[in-house]
Amino acid sequence: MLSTQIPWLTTIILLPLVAALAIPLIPDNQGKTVRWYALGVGIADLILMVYAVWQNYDLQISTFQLAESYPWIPQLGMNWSVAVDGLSLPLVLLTGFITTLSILAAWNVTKKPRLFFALMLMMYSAQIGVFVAQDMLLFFLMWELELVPVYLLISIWGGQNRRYAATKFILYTAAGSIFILVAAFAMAMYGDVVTFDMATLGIKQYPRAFELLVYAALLIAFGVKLPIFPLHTWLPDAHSEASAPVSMILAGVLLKMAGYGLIRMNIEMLPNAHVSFAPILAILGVVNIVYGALTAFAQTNLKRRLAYSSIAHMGFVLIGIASFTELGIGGAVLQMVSHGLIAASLFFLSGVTYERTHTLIMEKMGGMAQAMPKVFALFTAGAMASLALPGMSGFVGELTIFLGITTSDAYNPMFKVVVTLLAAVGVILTPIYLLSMLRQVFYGNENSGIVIEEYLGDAKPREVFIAACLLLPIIGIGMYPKLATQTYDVKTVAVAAQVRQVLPTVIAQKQRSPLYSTALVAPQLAVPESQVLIASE
Amino acid sequence: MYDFEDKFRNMQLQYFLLLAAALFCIGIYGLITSRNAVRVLMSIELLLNAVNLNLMAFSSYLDPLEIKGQVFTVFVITVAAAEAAVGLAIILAIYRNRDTVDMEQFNLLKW
Amino acid sequence: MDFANLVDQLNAGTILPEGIVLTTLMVIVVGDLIVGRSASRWIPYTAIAGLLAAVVALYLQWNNPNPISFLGAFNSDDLSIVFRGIIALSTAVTILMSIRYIEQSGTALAEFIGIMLTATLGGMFLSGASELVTIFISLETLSISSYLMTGYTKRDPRSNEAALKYLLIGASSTGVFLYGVSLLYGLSGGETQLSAIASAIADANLSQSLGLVISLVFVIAGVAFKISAAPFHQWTPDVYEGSPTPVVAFLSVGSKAAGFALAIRLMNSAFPLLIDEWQFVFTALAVLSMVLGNVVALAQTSMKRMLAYSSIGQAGFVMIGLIAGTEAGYASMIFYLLVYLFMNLGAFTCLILFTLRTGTDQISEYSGLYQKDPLLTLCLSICLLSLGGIPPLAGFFGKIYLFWAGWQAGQYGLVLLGLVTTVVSIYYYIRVVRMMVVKEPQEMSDAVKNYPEVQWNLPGMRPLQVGLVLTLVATSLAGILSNPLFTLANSSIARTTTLQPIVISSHFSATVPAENSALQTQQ
Repeated sequence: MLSTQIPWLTTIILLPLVAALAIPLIPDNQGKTVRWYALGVGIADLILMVYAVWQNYDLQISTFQLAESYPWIPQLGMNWSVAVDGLSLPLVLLTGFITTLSILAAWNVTKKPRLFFALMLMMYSAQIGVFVAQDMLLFFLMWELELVPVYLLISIWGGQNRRYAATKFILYTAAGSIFILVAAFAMAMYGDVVTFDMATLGIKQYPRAFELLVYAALLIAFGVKLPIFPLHTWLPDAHSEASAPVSMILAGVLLKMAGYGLIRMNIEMLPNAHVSFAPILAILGVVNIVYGALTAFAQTNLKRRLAYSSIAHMGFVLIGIASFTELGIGGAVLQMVSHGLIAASLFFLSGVTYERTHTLIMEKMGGMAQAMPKVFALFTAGAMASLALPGMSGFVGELTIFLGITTSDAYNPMFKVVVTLLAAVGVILTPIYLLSMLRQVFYGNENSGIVIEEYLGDAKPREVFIAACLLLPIIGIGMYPKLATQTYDVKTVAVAAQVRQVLPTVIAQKQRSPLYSTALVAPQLAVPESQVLIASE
Repeated sequence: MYDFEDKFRNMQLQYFLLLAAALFCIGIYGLITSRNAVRVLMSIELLLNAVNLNLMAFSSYLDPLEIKGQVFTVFVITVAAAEAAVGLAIILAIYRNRDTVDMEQFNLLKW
Repeated sequence: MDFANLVDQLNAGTILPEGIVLTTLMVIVVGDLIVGRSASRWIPYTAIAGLLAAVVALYLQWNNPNPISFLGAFNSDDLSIVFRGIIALSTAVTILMSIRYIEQSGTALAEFIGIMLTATLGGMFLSGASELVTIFISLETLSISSYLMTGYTKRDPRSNEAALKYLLIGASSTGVFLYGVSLLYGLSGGETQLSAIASAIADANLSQSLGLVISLVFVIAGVAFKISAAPFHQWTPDVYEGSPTPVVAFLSVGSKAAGFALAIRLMNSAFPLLIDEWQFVFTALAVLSMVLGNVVALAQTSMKRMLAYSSIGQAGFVMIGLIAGTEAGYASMIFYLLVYLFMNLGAFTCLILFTLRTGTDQISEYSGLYQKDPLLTLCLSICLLSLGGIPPLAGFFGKIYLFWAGWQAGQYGLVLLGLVTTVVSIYYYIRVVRMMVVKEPQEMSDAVKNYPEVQWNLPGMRPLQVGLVLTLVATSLAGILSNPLFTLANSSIARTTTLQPIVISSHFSATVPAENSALQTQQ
């Protein structure tokens, strides 16, 4: 077949980057041509992705497809090696979709437009690169490549506190990413052959302590990005200070890089350690959900509230990853895709609101439903999706994760009950803070202090279009989940099978974690006391 | 007779080395405590002379045929002269601009 | 014995590149004497042509089958060729940026370039010197010329002060170094050739003697001064702040590369028996340099001082390669110095350009520069981000290679510390980028508000522009297209015989190097 000869993925990665470098050559200072140019590149890349997948990707195969590998720096063992499988595919498409929409959302950027769109396109490349890299060093390179564009995007076009938020972001992420490099070195140099190829690293057999250490390192690196509870403090600042198009990408795509990394590296490459760490992940996930929901309550800033709700939603991803079931891991991927769409739409709409009111403090708003009925309707739809209304993608994602963890035969029933209950508490809290947000912003009497830019009025067709583009797949996936699940199903089944394979052996050999179900362990006569104690905590 | 001479020679080498070490230490002491830039320069000369003494002693005791140490000494003396010349020139320039050679006064550059 | 015979016997062809530089130097000095002040129009270009010719000559000597020359005093192996190339190139770029600077400072250009070529000569000889007297003479040629250059703007009291501090600290470190060398001469029973010293010490079984350890420490102190490793760094910030900026650029790249060449050769050829001791000392130096350089740089307000501390930190990173002691370790040092050449000189070119246009080097004065001079902002941002190790710039690959080699050699702690301090360094590099790019127009500094119209047609500005673009292109592309550089660095190490014993010893045992170096001296 001729079309497989074309280096699709390389083209898809490099197109935005090369296009970004060409931006200084475009003769226009008003930003009118540049935005059309950037949008054109975004759409072209998206079309290219869809076409490449349409033509050359077989959904029924769980292995890597569209693979390319060229030696880059053989002295280091570094290759330019890219490929997609069921795990990367939905996220790559999500990146293309969200980034293109956020370029459209940034239509009104008048401050340094050329720099803005150049950075957006660079970030585009880096994110796709992260999702398709099959070489640890290349992954690290792409991961770091996205740092400076995000830093500049936040610190130039952000809100009041943008410089603080941007610096915090770059320091947290850079410090976290150290661990990716360390883990890559450790795994690559283990044994006789130095290689950074992820598949080969996954096959290598490591000693148990080594594997645990590497797992912990990667967990910290991804935990900063995801974010996991104690490492999360950069996120509310970054997301709330960034301008709407940037926070669309931050919440929609950037957080997914960490979830992807957890599944790709922690589960696939280090399954033995994953067995030991999974209960911790589940607990952290619960902490994320409850903490995120409770803290979101206390926020008076609209975007900060949404940011904390992101933290809560990413907790579900952690639980799904920890579940050891096909349903759970599949649910984690689905939750990432669905949260990407929902968070992007909510952040976009809060940006639309901000453009009109020039404030994000919810107390200063109120009663805006009359002035802006379309924004209100769209915002409500997004919030409903976020609080997991049945028929929307959020519901499907969270439901599959719940099913995954409750049907998991790996855990002790007590543990499962506690995790599910607490997560359910989080789910109950979500509508409360989201609905109260809607009430404060849109219902009630019109706040006399609020000044709505008259000339902007209600949502413009462009804004309605963007929101509709985001809401349609949300509802589509909610109604017919197979739309999303078919892209990754085969792969997540394979991942779950792989990790379940090592589950009994590891548990039988090494440890009797009281959190794990006795069903998979050698038969025991009585339940030890400690098992009950810890599980009931 | 031979035994005595051998012992004498060995001890002498040690004396030379001790003297050089003492000179070196005096040089370091002068380097640290001097406030006058010219004195610092002189202390550096002491360091280099300690080195010369070392080289000469080693050369005549251990390497009497090729006397590489003595050749080395000639180079050290030459370079020391060049260094002193440059040093004095710089001190002269700074004296013209600042009217002092006191090390404590040179504080334009600090963080 | 006629002349040709003598040349043949000494194998004098190996110093042809230095000969070219020397001839250029003579042409410049004599030409300046004859023609007078108007000579400054062609002198810098002659110098650059001479340096490039020297680089070509070095290229032609690549993989020389018979590198030992001057009865063992000079070793023109591939390692030295790479380092000599780095030094010559760095001088060429430095001259590009110094033309306008010296012109504007109102001092004579020809003499400045003459002194700089002398320093280059010293550095190049130092990279290949394998005998104590040669090492000393070339080291001093480099040092004394550096003192002169530091104090070159003699009406500026800051320059005077920097020169005096540099001279006094430099001369005392030379004294300490020489004392160590004299002990080495005595302990080896009167040998001055590095390999002979190693075998004599091995024969006399002196590897545990206190005198040898003292001499090692003293010698390392001298080397550490040259590469400005903490705690021998005190001169660096003062000298960097006070001296003319092109001199600083040369000191931070050329002079430092020469120091590293000396370190590699001295440690491997003369002290292979004390490998544990010198690795320990260098580990301490590397740790201190990385921590101190990168942490103190955070607090700086002057750009030159910040780059001074950053260069101390960078020296710490490079030392990881030396401590690794493997083939990959040395290759990563060379690779890093090659990319460091471009990114650091690029940063200094931008610094000079900014100082020429505004007359200040305070970091806060850079705010809002993006509005006035996008090219300068772009170049400085790229160079600083590359120094901070942000992909896909050259510095990222350099750091990755250093850490890779360090990890491979089992220096886990050092690599971790290097990574952590790299994150710290990102903070202060990006602070400058933020100043230039992020600040709003109303936050513009006074210097930028009064920024003159960008024009390149003043005398001496074209070369500056060429240097700017050259370093910018090299910094952005040397990483992505780094394969040739990697190959260069690796093959220069693989073909260098003096490094082989250590390479073997790190795999087998410590007794092998003594035998090997003994073998070498017999050959």
